[in-house]
Amino acid sequence: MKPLHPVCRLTAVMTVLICLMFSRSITAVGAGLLGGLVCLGLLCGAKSLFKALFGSLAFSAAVSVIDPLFSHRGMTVLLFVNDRPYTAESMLYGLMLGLSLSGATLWLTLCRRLLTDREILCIFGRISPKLAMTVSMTLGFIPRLIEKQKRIRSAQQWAGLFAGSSPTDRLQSSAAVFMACVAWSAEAAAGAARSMDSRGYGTHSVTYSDSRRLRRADLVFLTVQTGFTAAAVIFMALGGNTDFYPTIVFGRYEPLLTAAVTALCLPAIIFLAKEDIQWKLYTSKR
Amino acid sequence: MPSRRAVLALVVCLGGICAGCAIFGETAAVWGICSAAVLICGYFFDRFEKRDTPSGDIALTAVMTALAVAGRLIFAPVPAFKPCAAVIILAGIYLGAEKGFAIGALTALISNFYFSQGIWTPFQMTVWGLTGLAAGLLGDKLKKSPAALAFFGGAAGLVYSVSLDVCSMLWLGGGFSAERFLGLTAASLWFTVSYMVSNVIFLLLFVRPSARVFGRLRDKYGPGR
Repeated sequence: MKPLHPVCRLTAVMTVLICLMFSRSITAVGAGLLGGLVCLGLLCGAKSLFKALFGSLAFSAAVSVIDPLFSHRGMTVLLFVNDRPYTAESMLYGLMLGLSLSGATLWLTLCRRLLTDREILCIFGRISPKLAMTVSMTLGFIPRLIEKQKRIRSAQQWAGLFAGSSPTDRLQSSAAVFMACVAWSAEAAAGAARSMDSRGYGTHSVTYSDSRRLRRADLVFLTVQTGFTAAAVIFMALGGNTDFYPTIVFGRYEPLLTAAVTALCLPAIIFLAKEDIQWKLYTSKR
Repeated sequence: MPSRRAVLALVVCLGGICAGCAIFGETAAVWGICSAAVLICGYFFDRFEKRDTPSGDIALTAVMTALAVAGRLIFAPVPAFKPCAAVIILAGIYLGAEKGFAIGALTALISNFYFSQGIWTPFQMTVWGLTGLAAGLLGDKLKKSPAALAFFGGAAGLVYSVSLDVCSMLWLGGGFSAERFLGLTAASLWFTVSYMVSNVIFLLLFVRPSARVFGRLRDKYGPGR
């Protein structure tokens, strides 16, 4: 999906995420999860796909087994646990929750694969430049701090400090290293501030490093995604969700809601499949 | 007097929340708390954006956030025993309430880049942000009394864990159920105790050296409260 503007890639993920988080239709949630798995397979390969599939199924199965222990609604009693009914409807509700949570987590993982930190900062930098700059500086400081912490710990060990191995000694050692990092960070912040001032921070308006603009293809993509999301929300409001209690009844508009969620996943799948095929075709055959 | 634009934005937001509650039915509670979390963070981030912030404050916010995130990463092998809440509280005390909020909220957002983002991210951002804000508002009292600081740290750990339990319960649907809430709280009891104990230990370990570091920073360069 690299040819698309970062805003489009973010929209592709967020629109599916909205449907997964707020829909209570077992088929729509299943479609969203399936779409996410296909995208992950195309983006990261079969190994990641099977790992995510196994994780999602295991998590959904665990939630579907645990939920009836707390929710006793439903007509189809399977067994009694502590004299409380353990119902099939609650199991299916738990399965839907598990699929929904797994799907949301999967699409957020995809978001990290489709967008780099810099692209996310470019998007939010236009809305909130000061905050984006703070996040950007934080992302720069984190690896430096971790490296600094390793060096301070190593120096303390070689100097023979905090040599004890009891939990109290280790905690004291960690605290001493951490406070040394705090002191170093404070000086680093002051240095960064002086550096910003010398480069004229606050004296002129902010300029952006990313000069990409939305093209016609991006606008078409955004319109399509927004349209399908609006349709999905309307179907949810009209009765697209599954009624789990007292017995399972599929919503009147559930097939349409499921179709809308599938349609939301399709553009991402098509783009990723096209890139995958192109990559394989252009690889040298020698 | 709030501007016409601010009033319009508030009306649009409230309208959106009400419409969402009407549309989403069973998931209205999740929509409501998600929206509230986003609005709270949005309000404070907007203030941060609009204020005339000197470079020193931005750099200090970034570096304290990095420190809290690095703390979470460094202590990752020990579940629920991390210094990030302590760093957020100390940042709130020594740098002020609004910067405390920004550091708390950004810590949750950025550290979840390394762990994993999820539906819990907006709640974590809000709870840690409000922890930093409260620490800033009570800063003078917390600086004077280590007992009050330890109590505040313990309470912050308890509030963080219980808030995430409430969010998980609402996410499960079916409204508030005492049985489910007790089940979730019992399942996360070990984590709650770990959060509280780690906050108290790290705060008591860090409070004196932090006072020295921030005092020196203020004397030397000026930033900070």
